[in-house]
Amino acid sequence: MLTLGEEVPSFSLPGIQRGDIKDFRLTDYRGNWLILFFYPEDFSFICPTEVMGFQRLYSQYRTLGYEVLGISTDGVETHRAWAEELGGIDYPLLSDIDGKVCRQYQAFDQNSQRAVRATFIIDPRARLQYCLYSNLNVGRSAEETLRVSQALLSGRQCPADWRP
Amino acid sequence: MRIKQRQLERLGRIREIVFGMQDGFLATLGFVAGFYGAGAGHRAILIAGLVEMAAGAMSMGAAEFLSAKARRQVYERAVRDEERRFADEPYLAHQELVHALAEEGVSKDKAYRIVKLLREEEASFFKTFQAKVLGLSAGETENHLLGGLLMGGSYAIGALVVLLPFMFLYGGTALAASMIMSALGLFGLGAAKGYLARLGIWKSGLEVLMIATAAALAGYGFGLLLPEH
Repeated sequence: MLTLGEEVPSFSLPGIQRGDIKDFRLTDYRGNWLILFFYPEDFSFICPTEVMGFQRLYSQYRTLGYEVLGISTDGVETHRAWAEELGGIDYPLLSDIDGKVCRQYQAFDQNSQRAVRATFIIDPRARLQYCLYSNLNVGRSAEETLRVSQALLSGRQCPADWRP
Repeated sequence: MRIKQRQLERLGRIREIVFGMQDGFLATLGFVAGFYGAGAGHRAILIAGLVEMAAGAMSMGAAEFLSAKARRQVYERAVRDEERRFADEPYLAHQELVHALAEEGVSKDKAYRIVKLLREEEASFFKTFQAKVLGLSAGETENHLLGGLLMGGSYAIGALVVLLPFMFLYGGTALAASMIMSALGLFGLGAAKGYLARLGIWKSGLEVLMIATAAALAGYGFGLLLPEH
């Protein structure tokens, strides 16, 4: 069970970043803020709008000290082809083929055997600070996630529609 | 394209003809063999056979007409449902088509590109979606009345071939002649089917013949079990 403020499940998954395949571990990101977003699958029609959304704002996330990880149940080679199709993705796309990590984050759809749309913001001590689950038909806004990321860094009380 | 579709539709009528005629042979032969096996008289066999032919032809024709119509109505309902779903959840429909193409062996990236292009033409996309995802074919025959008439007529022809010997011959001779004519008719029907389907003529003819023989023997055997009085 994921709880706000509690440590999130650790994982190690193969992934691809700018053509390089390697294992990505949650522990590698200790000390950094992390955006972890699960999406149903590569070569689909809503996911690219989300994946490209994070790609467009990736440099801003990095400037704030965030790293971004995308996870789906597709294989690494599918991720590679998908990233090429989209014109290149700078942040890592991780492959959770058996859905184990998706399940740990309660982001797995048993019927389709794929990830659901879920976003987690994890602080430098691997504690959950924000999460969002979205209907399969509704894509998430990378801008909204950026706004929340900025709010979390502000250390202040941030009302609705807060802007930095 | 349309001409090809019409040709295929006409060829598709072979279903009604094979179904009806085969049933006409099999049911009537089983019927008269059963009556003969039970010791019925010649006149009773002939009258019962003719009644069976008329009732069977009408029943088969009506059943074909109604079942084809029912199938069409259910098909149209399914298409309407999917049209609504497509309007509500187009992304899901796009994704389902990608999956369907991938299941056919198209690589996922190619399937994605195909669907990406197709979705620019909504009508073409939906037709492809119907065929690939729903397995519904719009090219099915629509003239249910003709289908019913063909089915019923074919049944009557098959049954008549079985009954003809009983109009001129008697007893075991009539039954033997009926069986031979039925066997030839069934073989011919199977061979014709094999020719149209570009399958082996002999294999297809023998397949139908063997099934018919089994049915006739079963009917005869059942008749032997029944009391004569």
